[in-house]
Amino acid sequence: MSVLEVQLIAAAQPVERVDFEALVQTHQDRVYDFCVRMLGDREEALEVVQEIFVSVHQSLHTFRHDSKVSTWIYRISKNHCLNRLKYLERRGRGRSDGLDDVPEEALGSAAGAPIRPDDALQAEHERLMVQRAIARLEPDARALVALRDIEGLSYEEMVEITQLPLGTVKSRLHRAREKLAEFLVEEVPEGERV
Amino acid sequence: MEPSKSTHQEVRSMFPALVDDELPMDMVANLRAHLDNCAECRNGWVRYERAVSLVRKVPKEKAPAALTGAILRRIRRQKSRALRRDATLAMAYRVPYGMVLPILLAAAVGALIFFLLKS
Repeated sequence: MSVLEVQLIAAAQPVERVDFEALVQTHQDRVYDFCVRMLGDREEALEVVQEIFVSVHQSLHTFRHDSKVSTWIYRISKNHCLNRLKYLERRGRGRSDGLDDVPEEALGSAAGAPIRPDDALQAEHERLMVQRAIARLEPDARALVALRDIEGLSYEEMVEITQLPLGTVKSRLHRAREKLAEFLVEEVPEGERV
Repeated sequence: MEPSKSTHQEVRSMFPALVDDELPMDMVANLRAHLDNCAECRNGWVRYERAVSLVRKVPKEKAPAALTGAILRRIRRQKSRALRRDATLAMAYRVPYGMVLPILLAAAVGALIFFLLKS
């Protein structure tokens, strides 16, 4: 249990006693990453992350201590992202090309050692390919893939976030991955396919 | 003998557990044996595993450093907006100043009549 979770439980509701800045700093990277996967656009993700934390702040008093804070925040994030996707669809607004920019992280290796230009190019190519394939999934399926395979959550956490039975989560995730596999095959030129 | 259609479906339904290393050893051995002899399922598995591993390999997006400040500013703005809204509501429901004296006078007269009648 994190210090913040202990703090939330000890605070037992009064929002003023929770170090909200620390809570934001602890969770913002994961929430932002999840939003980028869901929305496929960094600018949109930035806007939605702010709205998510405003909602978190307003609903802190409703947080039930039977789940992890991170799970609760992911549930709010998922709902915000699905709403934003519906809104963007109604407005007929496509995604911007925000994800086509090469992020600095992709050009630096995780271990800190310099990365070879060929490897960086290959990693960037794969990242764009995966992002395009994820964007073709239905929003609910996209959320499952993002939660499990990108954010690395357990099935139990996914059940809490989606409020779906375990069997449904597993079967929908399986179908989403199969679709993703199809889309990824389509990304590969015909002569190079498996 | 050619594996039945249901066997193919069963094998495919085990891909999630296989990719997550959640299958018991004996089932893994059976599944691998099937994959060795069935090109259709093998191709399905190769694509499935590749898709999952590509997604898992994607580098994480890091939030910009200014995001925390932007979030906290937005929360402060929301708070002050809510305070202003509450103040406006309180003003709207407040008894108009000009009505205070007549109300007080009416209350005093009412009290006087009450005491006179009682005595």
